[in-house]
Amino acid sequence: MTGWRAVLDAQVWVSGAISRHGPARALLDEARKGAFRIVTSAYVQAEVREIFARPAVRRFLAPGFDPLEWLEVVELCTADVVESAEGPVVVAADPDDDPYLWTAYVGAASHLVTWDAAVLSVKHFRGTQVVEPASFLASLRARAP
Amino acid sequence: MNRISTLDLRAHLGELLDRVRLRFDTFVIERKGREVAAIIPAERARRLEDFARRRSAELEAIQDAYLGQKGFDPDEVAVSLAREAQAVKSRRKARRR
Repeated sequence: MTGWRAVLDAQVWVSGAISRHGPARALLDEARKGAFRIVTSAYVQAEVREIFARPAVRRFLAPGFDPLEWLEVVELCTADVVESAEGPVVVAADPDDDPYLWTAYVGAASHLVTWDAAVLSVKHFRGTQVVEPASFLASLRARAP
Repeated sequence: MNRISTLDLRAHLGELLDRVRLRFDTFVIERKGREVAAIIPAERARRLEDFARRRSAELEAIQDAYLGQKGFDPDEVAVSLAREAQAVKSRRKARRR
């Protein structure tokens, strides 16, 4: 265990659910093994549900795969759901991404994991490091015993 | 589940833990009228987590088999998901303004 806590962007959640290719699923596997703890919030959950509901995403879903059940069971074993928080604007280029940063702050997250360029440009926010999924995965594996 | 205050918790911790261990009682701890934590038997907590791990892996196996069966290109899937995630972010922004 690294003791790390990470907020995952909604795209990371959905990618990890749908495809085993790429770092998103591997991150969820690491979380299930207890390598780190996921931090999430109502804001992030709502965004994940909205992506799952898109017809262009639903076409990839297996008939026996219920995304909401999947989300619930993954959260049950890997995640802490914190209250969303709001604060002053952080990402000037895109303040609508701020709830992710404030979720990280409220949840004492060490990392925020995202592919979003505007959020990545923040790099650090009040003790949270903003990183890409592949980079976070590499750091986790480098610390594995 | 039984509800107890943090004051009761401090005053009766040993007794409460005995009830959890011997009678499998569960308690929700409240502070200032808000639920802050729960005490449940450790075995039950472990079983819940094990169930969630197993079930999430089962659902992913169903999903993986389907994608393979349909022959979706992983790169195409990744590009589509990125586009849809971006579309959701844009819609949420529009709603907030």
